[in-house]
Amino acid sequence: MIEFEHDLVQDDRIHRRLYTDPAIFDLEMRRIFERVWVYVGHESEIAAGGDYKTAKIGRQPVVLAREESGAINVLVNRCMHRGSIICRDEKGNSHFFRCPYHGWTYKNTGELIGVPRRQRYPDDFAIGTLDAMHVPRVETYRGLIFASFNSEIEPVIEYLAQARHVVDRILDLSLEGTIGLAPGPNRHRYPANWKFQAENGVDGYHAMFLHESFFAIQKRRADSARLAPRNEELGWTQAFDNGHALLARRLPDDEVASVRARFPEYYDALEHKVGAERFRELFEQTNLFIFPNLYLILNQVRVIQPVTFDDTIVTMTPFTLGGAPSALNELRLREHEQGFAPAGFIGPDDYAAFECVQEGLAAASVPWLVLYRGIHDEQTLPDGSRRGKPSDETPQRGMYRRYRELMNASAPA
Amino acid sequence: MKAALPVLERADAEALLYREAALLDAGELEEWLTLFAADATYWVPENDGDDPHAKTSVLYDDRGRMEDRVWRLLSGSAHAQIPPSRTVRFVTNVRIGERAGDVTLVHSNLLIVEARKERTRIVAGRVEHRVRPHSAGWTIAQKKIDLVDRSQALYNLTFVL
Repeated sequence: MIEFEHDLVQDDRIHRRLYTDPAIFDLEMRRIFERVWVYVGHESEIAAGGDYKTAKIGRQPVVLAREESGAINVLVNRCMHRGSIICRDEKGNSHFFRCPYHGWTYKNTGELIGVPRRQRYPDDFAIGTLDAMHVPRVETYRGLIFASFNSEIEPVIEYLAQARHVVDRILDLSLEGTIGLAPGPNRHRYPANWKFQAENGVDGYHAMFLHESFFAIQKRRADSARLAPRNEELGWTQAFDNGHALLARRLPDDEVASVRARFPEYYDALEHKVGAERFRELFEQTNLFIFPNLYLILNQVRVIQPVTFDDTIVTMTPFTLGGAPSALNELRLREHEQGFAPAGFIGPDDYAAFECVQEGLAAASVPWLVLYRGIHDEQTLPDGSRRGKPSDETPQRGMYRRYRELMNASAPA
Repeated sequence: MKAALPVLERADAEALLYREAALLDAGELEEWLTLFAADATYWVPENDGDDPHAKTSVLYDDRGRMEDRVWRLLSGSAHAQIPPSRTVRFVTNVRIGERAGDVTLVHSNLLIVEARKERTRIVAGRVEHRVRPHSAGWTIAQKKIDLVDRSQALYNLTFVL
């Protein structure tokens, strides 16, 4: 195994090889994706007993399966016999998974219960040792399901660190305190490294330039969703512990009033439930990154799935707010598609830019990408997080501090 | 007595669809918009049977968003289309479907070869146009495209299909 050269990540710069070296990509899969909590799905996607859906932890295929008892198992989607996936569909309902190759059958608890023509195995064949492998740790936070191959990792609630309060703020916009992923995803692919997407969702610097056409369209349509470039005092960036990061903008009073005016009954009920002060806090344009693969960004849950060092799949699911009128949830759908679907007015421009960066980084003569925007007056807050201006590279510096720690520490089991 | 509605024959449908294809391949997007009704929708669903009011689509444009899409593509600052895609599209298997009221359903198959930068790709799907009579002939009330590869993760689809 190669060792990670620790000086490839410095406080204010990162080396181009992080995006171009397949060996570094392999190491990321082991040292990051197999060591921390990885988001694998939402409870609303496997709501009933027998429901299942497939996901990836790094490159490893897994299947999330809900037992009748309500318990969630995350199984490695790989037959213990000769290696085939045991679940071929993205989602469905079944209490059993049967390998398509030789018909070995597993319960959704992982227990191996069927081996065709078993008499040709010797008497001491220990079927009980060939149950499907469980991902050892599975925990949820407010419906978000995380799994980890690291059996020693801290509980999810601690892993989320200060970012937990931002998750709460996003979900508390629902009168019932819940979100739903029933609208289903857009899945997007781009030919460049996964970390461009990780960095980009909390990059407040690019929008005013790269997404100029989107902001111009908003000006044409006074009634459309308001997203503003965040070069103003209402916005900020933040780097939390464990590589999580935030780009946020507090909505000014007139914008809150206009959002509220469209669904007055709903927002009145919400204000009544949470109180005026909390209600005001909930109106934030929020892009939250949970290291290493999850974004809660505006109206959507976004999941980054690295494929190779220059190939990435992103799944974006607009979420509904529990207790909200269907017209409000439909509006959220349309806002999502406008910006972020594969034919949207924002996301595809990001992917086009990532492709340009991947092309540019072929320039081996120039080693560094520089991340020192705003480094000179970054604040450290009492909770230990760091805060910068909206267009500062505070989030990216935070991510790469965590990245460096994980990549430098030699792998556990 | 009310005048009988004009009947959309297959030749009329082909003329309309071929004209649409030619305008899109030529990048004549403002002219393309004139083929659509004021209440038109342009829709690419994610799954069969999806209700666009409850399910995420690849796109679900009302007339206003279609105009925004065209404006953006012509603005010169839609980065996903710098450089722009060059396309040639093949519209085939044109069939007249159900007629309901003044709307006639037209089925066709669509194959687009798109070249952009160093890549060429194929976008293919089954298309339904809902067509209504109009003072100038015919107008499109809805265009819906079922992409054959939509179960896969999609690369940027920012040119008009």
